[in-house]
Amino acid sequence: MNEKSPTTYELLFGPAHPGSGNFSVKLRVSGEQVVSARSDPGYLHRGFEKLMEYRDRMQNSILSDRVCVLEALNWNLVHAEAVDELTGEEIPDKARYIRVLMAELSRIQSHLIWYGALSMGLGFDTGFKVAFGYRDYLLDIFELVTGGRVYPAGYICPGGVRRDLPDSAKTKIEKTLDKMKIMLRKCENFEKTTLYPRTRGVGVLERQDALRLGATGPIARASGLYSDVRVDDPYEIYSELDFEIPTRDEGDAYARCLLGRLEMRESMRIIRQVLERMPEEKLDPVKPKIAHKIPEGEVYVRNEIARGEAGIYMKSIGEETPYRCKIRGPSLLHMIPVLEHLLAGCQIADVPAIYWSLNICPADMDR
Amino acid sequence: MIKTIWELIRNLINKPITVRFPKQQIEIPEGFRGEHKYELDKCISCGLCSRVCPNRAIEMVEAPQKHKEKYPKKYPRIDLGKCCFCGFCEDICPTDALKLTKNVYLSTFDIKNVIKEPFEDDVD
Repeated sequence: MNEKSPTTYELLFGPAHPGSGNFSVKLRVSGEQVVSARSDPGYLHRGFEKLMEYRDRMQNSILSDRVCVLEALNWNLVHAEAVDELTGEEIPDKARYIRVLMAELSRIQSHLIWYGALSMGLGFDTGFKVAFGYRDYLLDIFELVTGGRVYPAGYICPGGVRRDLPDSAKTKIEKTLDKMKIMLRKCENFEKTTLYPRTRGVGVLERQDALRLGATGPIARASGLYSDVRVDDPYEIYSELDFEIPTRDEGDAYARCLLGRLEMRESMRIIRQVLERMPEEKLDPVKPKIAHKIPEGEVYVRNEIARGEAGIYMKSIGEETPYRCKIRGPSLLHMIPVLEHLLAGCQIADVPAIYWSLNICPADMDR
Repeated sequence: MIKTIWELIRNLINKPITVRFPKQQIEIPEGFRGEHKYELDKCISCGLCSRVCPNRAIEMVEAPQKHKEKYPKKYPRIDLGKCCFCGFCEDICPTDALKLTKNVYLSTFDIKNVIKEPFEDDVD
């Protein structure tokens, strides 16, 4: 079907659609079939890259929360690592363990949102409620450790972490992991009865397309690409930990959904190892300082966050504030080239399934 | 199918994960970043809280005329509408005059409640 044929019309998916977030896709539709799709980003642009040029390192760690609300702690870690590499500061051992612990908890929390949003997109409200209900247990941990449920306020900051782990945190995390196990069992039951028939064979991303379009993280792994920054270019204490990187070859929406669950299981394994090896000593919390200069230099740091590969390029000319800070969010490539590629030729009813199976976050794309 | 039915029966017996707010509340842990508590007599007017604030929510203001003799310096006025509750002001305060409390019930219909003056009794 020709794109400009008189029998086609334009259908807007978002930005006010409850299932799209602050993002819009313009679909060219012929009957029930999508002929082509065009992403329409920019509804959530807040200009973080420019704002960061006017703030010092600790104030920027607060901004880094907001890059992606759904996994604030992971973005904290990317920013903190970029500054740490510039300053060459020695990070205490315990702080490294806490950083990985919080980043992995944040990954599970983010995958639960993904699971919930995908269920909601498919009209399966029970899955949404279960995922968001169990996510609250993780938010309770964040509240205890960082002092805030959603925004940790730069908990993982340049130089370490802002607070030591409270005494009750370890037992609370272990109890929550047991609850997560129950949740994963519930997810497994849903998948067979509801998600499997609805997502199987929908939005297939071939391996070569995943490579060509720049997919990273779980999206690339669901298409059979074995790539994970935690293994390829280990940071913090990941090289000391024993975990697997689950991959699938199918590349469809179901494979991506399944991968989310498998990754949660691996993250739980990492958290248990980190808790076992956590050093006992007391940790000095990092306090904000005035007139704290960043040494001259430039650096690019990449991390594996829940959505894929996140990177920060930072340049400093020896002032308190960075000269330039470029943020590379994983969602940009997933939401523009990958989404447009997958939506072309699909049915209208499959659009939410494909859209949400990509685990996208408009916030980290628009920045 | 049997598993799904088993799950249904289990959910009938289980308690809900939510609580009946406001009659019941989930306890807020220590160290939560809520509303500010400011102790005027501890403050040395160093202005660090105002300098470190990432949202510029803290402004150093002079005392009203009747208090000026006792408090000649400048004191922090906090705009809760701008505040992101990061807690940097609490961390940097050398005398612990500014602290964050566990109070999270900050919704208001009156805009005057959003701005916390250092001299509470003088807000008209």
